[in-house]
Amino acid sequence: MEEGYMSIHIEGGYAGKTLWVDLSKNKILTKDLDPELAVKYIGGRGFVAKLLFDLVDPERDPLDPQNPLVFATGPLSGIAPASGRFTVGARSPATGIHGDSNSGGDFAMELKHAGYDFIVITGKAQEPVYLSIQDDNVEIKSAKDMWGLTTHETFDHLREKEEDRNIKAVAIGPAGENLVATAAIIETESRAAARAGMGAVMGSKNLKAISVRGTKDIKLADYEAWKEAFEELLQVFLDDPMTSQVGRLLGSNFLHRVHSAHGTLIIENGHRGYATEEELEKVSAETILKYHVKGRSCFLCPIACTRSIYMESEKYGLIKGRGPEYYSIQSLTYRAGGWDTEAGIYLNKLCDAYGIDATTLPSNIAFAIDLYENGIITKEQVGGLELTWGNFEAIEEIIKSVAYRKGKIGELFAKSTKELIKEFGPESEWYALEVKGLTMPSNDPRAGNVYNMRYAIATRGADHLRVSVLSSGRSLKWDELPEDEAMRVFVHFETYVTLVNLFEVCNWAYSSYTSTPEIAEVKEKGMFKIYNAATGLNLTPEDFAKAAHRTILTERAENVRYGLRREHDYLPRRVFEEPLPINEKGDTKIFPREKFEKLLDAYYALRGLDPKTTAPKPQILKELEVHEIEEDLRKRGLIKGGEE
Amino acid sequence: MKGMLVFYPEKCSGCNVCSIVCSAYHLGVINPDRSRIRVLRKEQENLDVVNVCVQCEEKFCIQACPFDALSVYPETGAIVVDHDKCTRCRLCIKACPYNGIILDPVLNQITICDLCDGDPQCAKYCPTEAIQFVHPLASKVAHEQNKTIITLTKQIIEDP
Repeated sequence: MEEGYMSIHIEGGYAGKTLWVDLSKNKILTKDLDPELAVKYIGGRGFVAKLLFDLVDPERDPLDPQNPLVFATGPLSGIAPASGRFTVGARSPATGIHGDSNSGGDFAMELKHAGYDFIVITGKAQEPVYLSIQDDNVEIKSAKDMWGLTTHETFDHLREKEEDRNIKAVAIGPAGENLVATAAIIETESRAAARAGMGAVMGSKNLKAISVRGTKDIKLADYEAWKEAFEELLQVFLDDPMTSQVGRLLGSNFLHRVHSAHGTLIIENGHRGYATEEELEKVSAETILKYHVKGRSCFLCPIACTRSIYMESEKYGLIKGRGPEYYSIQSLTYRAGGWDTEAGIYLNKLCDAYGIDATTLPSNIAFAIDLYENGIITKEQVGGLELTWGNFEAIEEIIKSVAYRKGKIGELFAKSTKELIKEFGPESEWYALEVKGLTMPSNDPRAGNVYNMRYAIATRGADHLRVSVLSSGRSLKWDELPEDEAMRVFVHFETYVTLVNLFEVCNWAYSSYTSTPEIAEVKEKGMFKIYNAATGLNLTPEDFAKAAHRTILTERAENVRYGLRREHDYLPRRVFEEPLPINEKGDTKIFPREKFEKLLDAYYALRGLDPKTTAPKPQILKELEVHEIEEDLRKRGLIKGGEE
Repeated sequence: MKGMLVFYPEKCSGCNVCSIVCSAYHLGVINPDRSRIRVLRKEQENLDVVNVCVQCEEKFCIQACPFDALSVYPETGAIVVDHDKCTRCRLCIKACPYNGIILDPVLNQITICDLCDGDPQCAKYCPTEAIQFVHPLASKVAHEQNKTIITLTKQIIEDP
């Protein structure tokens, strides 16, 4: 990209405006999208990273009313296959550090058609409110009559109030209202921006929901080029059996068997990495298929991996709507030692309705069960619950109590993972599968060392989504490569996934559901082509890779301001010290600690991070043209010494 | 080619590819609200239903038009709007039980599916075969199948 960002003219792709809402002052502002921001950070997660870096005062508590909450769409939202994603970000009340969360559905597309690339919300309303957006008509309206409603009830209510069946919205349930650390933001399609406690940030602002209706055009600078790229991408999704068969028939739940075969499941809070055939016959993609009605798409998704389900259960009654994803059902069932698909479907539904992260809260519960079973904590400490493996009644009671912070159980499990460790005492730490305060979903790092370095380096805590193995990595004997070489591939995948997040297309569609390196290449090129065709810009693959790098370093810089250093890029101690059974033969795997440190050093070197402070080095900040970050970190004494 | 569109809501995943290729093809921009085909969704009921002209046998819209502005284009079988005669009274919109007609807010024109001159983009790009373009010989079966769309549309709109 050449110098002089102000002269950049963006013809399409982006909506072009941004929305700034101050709930304390009841003020709404629209501003033009800054073309420099667009080109340097592309969109979505990149916008969130930059806005949080600029706007968050690290001295303030995460739930301080002045802290910003950002919802960002991407330049491909609504114009590329599988582009239903948006990122929401804030300083996380669950971890205290950089927080962001990504959701699918239709909200991003609607927001763009209303004319906005992102929304920044600051302040706190005096009473419960919702933000009503109908194109240029933006209002803060009372949500007093919606406070306490489940998310699904809230959406019905909004459709009535806005007198429009076609609104798309995001909302919190009771959990967000009650500032639960694992509160999620739920989207109209029952998709969730679940992780990092973003629901609690909405709750802290007295913001129940955002309702959007947009009727404006998204312009395309070069219609023919767009059409060609769109067609090509659509075709690749239809041709690749990973998408047209696996994704469409099984959804993310195909992973129960895949991960079991690799020994990387998290069963009973990480004491075993494989499931037996008998167990998989109780919880797997096939067991969910029994209740499957059809696949359900996020916006423009030809895969439709989400299960629409219809379950008439003796125990749980009739359940319809969105079924559970792999990560939520495994957390709600066998992570806590139980094997029952119906229970998983039911509990997942409860989490969606109350606006709870169906991965993190269950991980906290599995952690507590482990402590209870091992005699670290007593019945009294957990409000009289019999916290044994597979006790679904206890899990149900915890979920229901947490949503309303009811009684001792509600108060206890409304806490963040770090707070729970503190509550349960130093002995409990060994059992906690978390990094930076965020729990690991599936994928035990002992079976798959290099791949799961992503838990250590992800800027929002233990996150399985910041690095995905592209098909080219599947056949790769990653753990056998020399550390430097292994991390070069790792960083390449991290860049790719970050780009997917900047464009706001689906990580699954564009990475995990990909069978060959050739298809991965078509997808990557397709994203770039759609971007340039829509915007009329001519960004190169190098420009895009730089934007991804910039985003990662900006999130890093934010975290360094919160006091994060090398020692925070850890993995749970158990991973290095307790071998994990990976199959029925009795084989085990572990993560050698020396290897971990070498991998970490290799990562820092490749990303231009100081290996002690993890602050981005001045040299790389210069290369990436983010002088303001260098200046800020220098001012705070976080970058010392002269030029390198 | 002459033919008609058939819809299988149970196959529809609600992806909206139909609505964006429609607006892109006709207008060169992307906008489901200006598309001749739109998807009505109800997640909690597992419902996704397209709203579009289904070239019904009754031709409610033609019957309802007091100005003779609507007719069937013989080459394709699609409904054509004579914009000179049309007064934008919207009686056709009201009369269509399929929600198949819109008033384009930008062009201020009554807009109905024109079957893309015999190559309907929605059917061409539908990833799940929920929209198909069939030969006139299959029209009897097609008309019968398309009745499910009315029932489901009503179910979404009327049930709060």
